[in-house]
Amino acid sequence: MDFGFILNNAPLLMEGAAMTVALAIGALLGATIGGGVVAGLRMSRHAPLRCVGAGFVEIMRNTPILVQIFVLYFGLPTLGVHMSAFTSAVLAMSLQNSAYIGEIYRAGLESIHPRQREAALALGMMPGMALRVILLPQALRRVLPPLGNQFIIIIKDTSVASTIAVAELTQASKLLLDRSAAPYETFATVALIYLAISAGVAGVLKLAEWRYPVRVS
Amino acid sequence: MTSAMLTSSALYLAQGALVTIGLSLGIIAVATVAGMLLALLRLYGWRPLGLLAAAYGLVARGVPLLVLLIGSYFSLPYLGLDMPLWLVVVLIGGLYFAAYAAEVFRAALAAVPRTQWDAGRALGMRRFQLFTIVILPQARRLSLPPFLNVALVAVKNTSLVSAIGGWELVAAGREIGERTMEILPAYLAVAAFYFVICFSISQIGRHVEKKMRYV
Repeated sequence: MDFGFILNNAPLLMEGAAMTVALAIGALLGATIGGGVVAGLRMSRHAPLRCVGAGFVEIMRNTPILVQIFVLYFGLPTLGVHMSAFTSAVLAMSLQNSAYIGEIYRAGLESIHPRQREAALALGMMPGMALRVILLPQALRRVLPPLGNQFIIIIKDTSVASTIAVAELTQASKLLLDRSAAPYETFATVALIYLAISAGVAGVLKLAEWRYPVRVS
Repeated sequence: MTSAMLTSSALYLAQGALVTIGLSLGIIAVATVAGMLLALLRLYGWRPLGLLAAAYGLVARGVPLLVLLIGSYFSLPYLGLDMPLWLVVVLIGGLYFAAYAAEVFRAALAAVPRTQWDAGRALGMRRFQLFTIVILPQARRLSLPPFLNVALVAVKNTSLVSAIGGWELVAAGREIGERTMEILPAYLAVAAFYFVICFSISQIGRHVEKKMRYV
């Protein structure tokens, strides 16, 4: 074992880790917002919107993220739409995870008893206010655990961006492999960095679950 | 594009899809066996081994599969193990998804009511008999929908094999795209093949879940 080699290349790995975190943050933001749109479509009063939402969810969940990234990065330029590798990866991950996170939001909202909404409306709240003040605060607490699982999946999925040469952690480790004959050290280190990032996110979400517990009335 | 080219391209993609299905079946088989073993260790095993199984699950679920695939493919030759790529994929993919399958099996086994164990013991059944005849069949039914979910993710993740130089559906699509210069249609066709495979699995899962509600 030769960890001196790893220490010498620490800057490369750190830059890779920073890029991994940047990809993850971009995809997390995109997917938490996109998820709201998807949940809105899926729960809409209008049947065509519901169909669009359902179709989007099925297509996103039943095709691999790698293929989605390839369609955006290699396929769209033939139509004249050019995006950087980073943008393609973030966009593809945002789209796929909006489908998963939209379903999580929907399950959370549907788990709130319909009488809560009726009571809010009976008190004279507008539907939007009932959603904001009564339904969402309860639903968001309930979806924290599945949301945390999905966040960790997003972090792991950022590794797929290495296939279109985004200079993130997995790509950095491939570079190190080409330069050296220290595969174990390289991969043990990279695995540990991924574990640390996932553990950090899992920790933050546990903290959020503790701070915002589900209240059973 | 002529229709002859279209048919030959479709056939080529279908071959790729067969490789994808084969790899998926191998991965799911390894994941089922190893996942069951991990779940049994955690629930009924000797305590230190159970903790080891739990630690394995945490590590496997915290590291991307792509990293494990690249890592093992590059480092196995250093160990003197010269395995074909497909075997590496089936083993590493199987062990990776075993961690997820173990969670599914553990939850299902734990969800069988304790009274079932008590009733079995009252009837004079031995522990092993009780487990195989009474507990396992009930847990199997409970675990099927979430297990199919794991299988679906496994199918999608076989696409990573193309990133370490293997040939399957995505690689076939890439070759067709390069040959015909129809890159977007080629990848959309690949997506369609995945959709057919994965949508069938999720529909089976939904069907099973619906049937279960009346049990």
